[in-house]
Amino acid sequence: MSLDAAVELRLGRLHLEAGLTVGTGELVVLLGPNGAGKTTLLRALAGLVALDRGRVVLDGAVLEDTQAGAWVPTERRPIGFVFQDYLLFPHLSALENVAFGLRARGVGRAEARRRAAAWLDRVGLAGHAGARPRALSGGQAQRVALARAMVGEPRLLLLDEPLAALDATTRTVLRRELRRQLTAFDGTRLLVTHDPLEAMALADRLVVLEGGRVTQTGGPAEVSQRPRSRYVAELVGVNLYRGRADGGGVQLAGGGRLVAAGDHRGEVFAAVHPHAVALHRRPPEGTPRNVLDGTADTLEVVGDRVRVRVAGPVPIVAEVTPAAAAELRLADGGPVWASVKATEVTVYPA
Amino acid sequence: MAVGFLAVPLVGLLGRTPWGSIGTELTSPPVLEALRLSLVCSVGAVAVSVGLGVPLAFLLARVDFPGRNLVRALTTLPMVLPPVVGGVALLLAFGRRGLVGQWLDRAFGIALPFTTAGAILAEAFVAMPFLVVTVEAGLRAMDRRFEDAAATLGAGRWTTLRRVTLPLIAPSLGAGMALCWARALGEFGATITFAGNLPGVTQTMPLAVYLALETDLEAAIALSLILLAISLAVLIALRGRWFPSA
Repeated sequence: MSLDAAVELRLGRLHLEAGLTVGTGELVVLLGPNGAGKTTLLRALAGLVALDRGRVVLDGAVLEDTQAGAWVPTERRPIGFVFQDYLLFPHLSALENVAFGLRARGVGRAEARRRAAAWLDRVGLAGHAGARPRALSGGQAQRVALARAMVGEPRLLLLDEPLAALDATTRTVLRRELRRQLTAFDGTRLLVTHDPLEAMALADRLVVLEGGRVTQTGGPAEVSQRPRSRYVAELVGVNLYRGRADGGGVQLAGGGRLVAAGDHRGEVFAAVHPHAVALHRRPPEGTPRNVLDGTADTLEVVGDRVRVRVAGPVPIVAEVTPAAAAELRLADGGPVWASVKATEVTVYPA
Repeated sequence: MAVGFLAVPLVGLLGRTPWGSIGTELTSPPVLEALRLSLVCSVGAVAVSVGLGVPLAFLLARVDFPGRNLVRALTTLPMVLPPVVGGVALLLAFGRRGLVGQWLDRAFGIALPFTTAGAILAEAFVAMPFLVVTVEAGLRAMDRRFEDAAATLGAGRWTTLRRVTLPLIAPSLGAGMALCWARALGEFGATITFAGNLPGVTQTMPLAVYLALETDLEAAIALSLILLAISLAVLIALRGRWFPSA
């Protein structure tokens, strides 16, 4: 019992070709840069965009199968959809918005209003039942949209960047609340975001979509420790290299070499966390380790650390303390040497 | 100078108004008769325009079919066509010997020219484009994803149309109806050509004004004032739409 989809479609410049499975009770977060096809994939699962090829099966029921010619229209799919800008009907009150789906599915007026009111209460908006969407704050609108999507007890809940339209403070509060609401929902859940923090906070499993294709899937910890694309690496702030392992180290695709612990062979990724990179103004001596030369390029304060981008034959980002950055006068630029212990280089098959 | 050019006739009209006897003029039987007929015809024309024009607006806004631009051009033609020509065309189509009229006469014994129905038809012919153009613009400006949202909530096409699309384009529909009504109310050329000038049957206010001008100037002024007041009312009602900054 779950969602099982294989989707292929062309829409403008996007060529979406992705397989996706989500277990019942599992919350999968679809993560990817703008234009990767995340929203299109959600819309395809909802039946709002037709597939060129593929099939969508939910809890054993075929919603769409291009080969068999099967197609269930959107209004008959057991889904709930939270749109990025919520799309609350502006001419209806919050209560009527939530009751809309029940009424459309044939629930009586009084019963629909009663259930809608119960849901508004559940998301903490009992006092705003009569308010028009334009009178609601962003956070309130988000909650109404969530209630509207969930009141019909869908089997599949699709959320398209549900927190993107909110300011940072509201987002932090609502992320926690959304997590609580989503945990209470027992169907299949698929959420789209381009915010890594949101993805890590909510996901049971991450699916990374880039250029219409799935580039990586796995738990949040696995994805952040072993990124498989530049996009993910930059998102989680890890240095990522691609190359060929020959037992003692990795010959990098862009030239240069990294010494790594362990015996790896073949095409691999090598990941180095910035906090494992030490910077020096003179070539360091001592234990066998990787030394990369370059120039201190850009500095960026992240929390209580300073991220330093070192430009050189093998570019690398280091995280040092503000004290170290000041002592090494990194803001002046100039030549630096970055050192990484062999044990700090994570190597995994490409 | 342009403002003066536009304003002086209005001032002239107001200046010549016999304010003392306006009450009696407005309630004199011929004026009331023309007023009643004008309301019947213009409201009827709006009803015909809504019934035919709204589906046409949907077709033009939503369906991509070959020849769409041609249909749109045809739809807007009555806006630029001299109304008299429209009347002649209607006569040739719906007249007793006309293309369609011939058949209507033979099959149902219906003759449209020189009847109130004919006046409604003439007014609708001239006024419907205003409704179609306004509603089509409203449909194009509408965010169609609201309809997607309705579909994800289980609403079929009719429920979506009734509970989402039509309410969302209600302002456009209202504006279109107001424009259409104002145009129908003032319609002269097509009506007199196609429906004639029969008091109580097809003699609407503009026709009555024209006729009264030669016999009873004060009645003509009174009728003109009513039409002016209605025009101003429509203008004020739609000001937010045309002058959003004001």
